Amino acid sequence: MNGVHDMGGQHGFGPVRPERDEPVFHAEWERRAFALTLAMGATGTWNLDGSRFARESLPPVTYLSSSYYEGWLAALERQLVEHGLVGEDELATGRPLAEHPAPVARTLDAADVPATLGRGGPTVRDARRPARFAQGDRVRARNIHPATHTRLPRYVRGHVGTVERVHGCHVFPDAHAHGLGEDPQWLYTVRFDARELWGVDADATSRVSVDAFEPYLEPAP
Amino acid sequence: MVAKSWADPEYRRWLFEDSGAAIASLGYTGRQGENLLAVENTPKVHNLVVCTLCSCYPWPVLGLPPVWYKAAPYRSRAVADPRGVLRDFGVELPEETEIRVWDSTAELRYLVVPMRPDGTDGWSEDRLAGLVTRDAMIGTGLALSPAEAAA
Repeated sequence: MNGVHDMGGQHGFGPVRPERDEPVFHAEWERRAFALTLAMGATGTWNLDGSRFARESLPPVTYLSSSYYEGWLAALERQLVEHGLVGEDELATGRPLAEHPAPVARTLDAADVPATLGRGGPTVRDARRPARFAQGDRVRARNIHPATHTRLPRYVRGHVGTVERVHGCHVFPDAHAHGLGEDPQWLYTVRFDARELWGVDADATSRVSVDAFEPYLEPAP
Repeated sequence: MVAKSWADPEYRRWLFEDSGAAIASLGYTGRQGENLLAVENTPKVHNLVVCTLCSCYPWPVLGLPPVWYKAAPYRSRAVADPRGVLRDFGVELPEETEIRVWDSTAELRYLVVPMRPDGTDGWSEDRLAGLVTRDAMIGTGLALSPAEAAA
């Protein structure tokens, strides 16, 4: 979706402000929001791509005016309601009101957290067809504007780059986020000259790459 | 990982040929580190890592990302004005140095291997490790010089 989360190239956000000796969490509730998000992810009710879509689907004003973990929490609440795990009334009162809480497929015990995080969530899958593109190929990022989840940022759409690396087949977020299965697709690192993306005033010595799934790309002369 | 790549040429070769295995051999594995790729700074190329769409970051190696990495100023400007972003971090590179920006738009997680600072010939891996910073491995900083590390 063309949301405010797709920030590459936007102006007006001001300078980067690094923080000296930054703590991992700035408040206890951030630690809790992070843990809740991971724990709910581990139930298997949705997947990481679905969570990203929930975050980018927050109202633009909410997205931009929330701190990072406020955004995570708002998206988590939305997912909990959408999947029928928590009622709006329960969110409002902060208390469980249903007599029988909706079941989830799995729960994450505290003792299993290190092993679960250690396993991670590999996205590489066996290839079912040969790759369409090879290292060195010129490709154009397609000018597409899906209203659904996508990982093709707007700033490369329509622009021509070069395939720098081929990474095998990976779970396709555009399908996976929406319950349409893993639909594995070839994944490429595609490199663009800064001037191709940003025009003649851009730095001639800068280059930018994105990791692009095959359906995002078409051959370029 | 970085200090080892400076001290051990065999490891360095392995790190750029098969980053995942070379980094896993040091015990860095797990969530958000399933597909790690090390990229090499040289006198000609400086690498910078960003996630413009959200906050993708190599958790098992660098921990959770700092607030600035997840915030709009960095995500919006890193791809369009990387030299300006580097200046925000006090880093000024020669004009002829290519800035290579990696936008982590899929599940690959990038780690920058900064250049080894001058004046560190014969240093042990442990001592070299004291020169490596998180920002140097994102690309928003350089490895510390011996003088900076001593300060």
